Amino acid sequence: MSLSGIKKKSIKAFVGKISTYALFLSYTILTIYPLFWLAYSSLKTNHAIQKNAFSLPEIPQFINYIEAWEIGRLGLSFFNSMIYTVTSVVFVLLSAMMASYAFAKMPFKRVSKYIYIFIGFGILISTHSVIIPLFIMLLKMGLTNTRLGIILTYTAVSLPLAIFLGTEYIKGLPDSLIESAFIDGAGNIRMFLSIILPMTVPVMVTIGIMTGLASWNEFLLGFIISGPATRGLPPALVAFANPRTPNFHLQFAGLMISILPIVVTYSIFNRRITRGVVAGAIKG
Amino acid sequence: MSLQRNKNDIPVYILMVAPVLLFYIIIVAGPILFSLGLGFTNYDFKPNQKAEFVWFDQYEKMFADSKFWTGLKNNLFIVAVSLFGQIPFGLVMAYLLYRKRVNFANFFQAMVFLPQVISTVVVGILWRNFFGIRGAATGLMRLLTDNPKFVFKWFLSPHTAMIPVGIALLWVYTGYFMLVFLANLQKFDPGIIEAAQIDGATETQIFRKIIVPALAGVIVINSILAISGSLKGFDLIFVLAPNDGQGIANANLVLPTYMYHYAFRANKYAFGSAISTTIVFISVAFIGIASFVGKRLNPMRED
Amino acid sequence: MKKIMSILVVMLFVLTNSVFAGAQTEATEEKVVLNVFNYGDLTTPEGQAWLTIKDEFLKQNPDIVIEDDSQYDETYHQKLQALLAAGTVPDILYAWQSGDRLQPLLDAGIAIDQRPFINQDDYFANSMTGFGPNGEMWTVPIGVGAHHVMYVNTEILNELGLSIPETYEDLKGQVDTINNAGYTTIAMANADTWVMGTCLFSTFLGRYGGAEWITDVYKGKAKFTGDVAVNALKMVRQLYVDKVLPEESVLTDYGTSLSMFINDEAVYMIDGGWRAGGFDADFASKVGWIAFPAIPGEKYAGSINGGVTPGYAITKPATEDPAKFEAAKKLLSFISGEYAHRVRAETQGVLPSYKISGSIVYKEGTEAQGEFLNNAALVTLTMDNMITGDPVTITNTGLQELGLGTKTAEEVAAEIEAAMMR
Repeated sequence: MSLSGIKKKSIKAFVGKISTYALFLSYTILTIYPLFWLAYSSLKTNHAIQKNAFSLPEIPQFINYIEAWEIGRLGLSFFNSMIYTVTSVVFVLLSAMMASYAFAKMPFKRVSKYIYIFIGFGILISTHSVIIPLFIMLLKMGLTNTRLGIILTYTAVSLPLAIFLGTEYIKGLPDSLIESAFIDGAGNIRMFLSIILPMTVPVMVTIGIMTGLASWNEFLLGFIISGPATRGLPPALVAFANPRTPNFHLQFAGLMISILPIVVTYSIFNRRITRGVVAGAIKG
Repeated sequence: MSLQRNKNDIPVYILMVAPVLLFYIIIVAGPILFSLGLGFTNYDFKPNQKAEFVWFDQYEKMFADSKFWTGLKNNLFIVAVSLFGQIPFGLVMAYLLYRKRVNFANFFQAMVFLPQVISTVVVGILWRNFFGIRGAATGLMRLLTDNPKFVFKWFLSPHTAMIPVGIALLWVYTGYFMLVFLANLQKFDPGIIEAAQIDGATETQIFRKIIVPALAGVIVINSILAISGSLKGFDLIFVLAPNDGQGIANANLVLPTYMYHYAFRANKYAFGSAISTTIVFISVAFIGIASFVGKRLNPMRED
Repeated sequence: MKKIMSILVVMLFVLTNSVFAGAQTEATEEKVVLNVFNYGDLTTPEGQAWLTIKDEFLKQNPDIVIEDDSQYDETYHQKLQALLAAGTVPDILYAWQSGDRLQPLLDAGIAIDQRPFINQDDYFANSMTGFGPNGEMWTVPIGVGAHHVMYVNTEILNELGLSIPETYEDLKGQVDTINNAGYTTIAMANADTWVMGTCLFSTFLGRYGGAEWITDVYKGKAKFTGDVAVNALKMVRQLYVDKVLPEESVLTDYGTSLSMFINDEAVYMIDGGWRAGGFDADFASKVGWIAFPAIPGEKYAGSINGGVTPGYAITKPATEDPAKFEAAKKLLSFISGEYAHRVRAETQGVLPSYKISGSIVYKEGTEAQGEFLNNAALVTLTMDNMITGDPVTITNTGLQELGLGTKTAEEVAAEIEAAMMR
């Protein structure tokens, strides 16, 4: 290439680099700014929020958070969300891993295939396809406004994806391992618990994260099926931070209370979370 | 692969599979079938009401309702936003990240993915306020247009009512697709790209002729995910659009909110079930079409 | 491995116990247990008032036990559905005296006439209207209120050199002055579909049709396609055309309209009498209460729409056990009686339907509403108090469409009428 050609090329590369930086920078700003604005606005008085959208708080009103917490009963909802998330993750992991092992490594392959496809359809389904009959069913059983109904449902809707991920993963484990364990005299259950399960920790982490996130952030079901004492954080937030009140300071504080735990968890476990979610997607 | 059979295989198999099967049948499969059936009746669970089969009456009513078509139209808009917005945008950004080796890539990844972990409900309320009368966006427009009473009017017209929804969705999901594409790109053999560069190919050409076809499989799968998600979205729109998601004069209706308002506000459970069943059918149809198109475009992909 | 398993089991045990959490009061012998389903949020003055009233009753009646549940908004209606569907009907519940909210009770056959349980002379005559086919009163209302109030920010009005408009022409003439000074004419939450119907449209219906019109429509004696309704709809459209209601009114949600008004951004606000509870004392002192100015062609000048608030009712199943029935009657009299009304008036600002003797220190804003209601030339019904279901939804959406200009008054009227016919 001629000298001017090289020059042209490096100018082009330079421009390319600058514009790329600009693109990403603006994208980051656009992503972060609303959250940043929310954060500092939540520390203003209601009056200050309404007077000027941009102003920074004169004196940080931490009391907004306390008021929002009490009035919106966010403490109770927080607790409920924790229960739902933890129990659904536990139930999903237990049952999905068992089934995954059964589908991936146990005999009866043909039966497994049919059941697997049957459950696979569940990935297409989301809560609102089942919500009406589910609501009626829980109504008749007297389980609305109880925690049990919600836990069972959160577990069930996260199962299909969990089984898909688990089965694919276990399929990838070497058969030789299992053969030798059998030769050593291990029974099926022992096999599953002592050998397979410890090797599936990566996929369990993925499933745990996905189920946990889904349950923690779930709204519709919680909104319809639960009452003030049993609702999780998202429905409580909607009941509290709705467009009918002019209490912006409380709304913003409530939003921040919902966001903070997730942001904190995310910053600590960032790599794990993104890797986990992406791993699931790559497999597909 | 045939493994040594144990004598307690059958009971163990049942033990392992029964829980999920039970969960799934009772909470997912059963209700869907029940929903299917309910849509053929007029039973709204009122006390003293007798259930009657009215077959396709509910569906007739639904297809005759202009609100259904508004909902469908809006859902298609969302599908379009994800197929032609989130995915291409995510792909391009992933490619740029991959090729340019921008510094702070990890930080950037984290930022872009952040909206995904926040509850969609929170996202919706945040954006409602951000574009609302006391929000920063409105404030900015008031400064720019020198009009102290400026308000965003896109919810007013059915033609523009879905735009804020589109923006919020882009904000939430583009990052996810970008991450997935990036991960796939990183498995890519850089030697091919170097060879193409030596041959004088431009970045655009490399992108179009090499990257896209290589990632075709991933693109298709993610398109399917995107479509499926577009038809399900309830939370975000419910809190973002006025009137609990319906919009002004129903301009923001999507099929899930349409179903919600009939079933849980007007207590028309049978009609709601018909809508719900229709949504499932439409999802399956879309995904079927997408898979078919995907197979055509990428015949080497093994299913 | 075993250790992990046992920890898991213990965790599961603990978790399931918390899952089945739910306190239940036990009924002891010799005491009558009344099951009350209440409406309200216990963290608000409304909810607090209920607790105060309940506690006083229990003090005075130690042989009665109350199991009460308070739910709010959506959850109230869903829980009620659940209770009705499951057959576990409360003994006393909070209910609306007519309309969509009452319908489930009628359908379930548990609503009964409350008139035999109270002394009607103790109450204001206009709160004792029965909406049943034979004049049955399905609940004993705990308050009355105006559903249409045009609030005036007198400070801004004076600043702009304007005076209270008496006719619509007056109001129209003020629009330019107000807009040029940077203020909004009327803050009204028309994004929320019910607001126009309840707080203004019903008044227009009253101005053209008088007190009997809505009842006539309900009975089939009048139609929405007739002059009264069409003119009222046209009037609504006119407000937008003349910019008396700004275009963005259809975008304004319920929190925003109040926010605009109390931040001195709008001169007027149209809402219900209850909204005055959102004014602090300072602001309340500069707010004037007027009825909408005279509209062209009106027959019933100065009318507003209003009505009674919901109240409490004894349900049919409660009448079956004599001891329970007696206790229920006592409770009903008490929560609809002098003490209860006083508490609500002082802490909540509810205008009592009961003739309270002696003086009360009302919560700020209550007296203004009382005066406003008493001075009204005529109080007509609110539309959704009588008419239920689809027609109301279509009316409300139609009112929005009028605001957007996407439908004409005649078209909307025809749609409503068609829905009435079904």
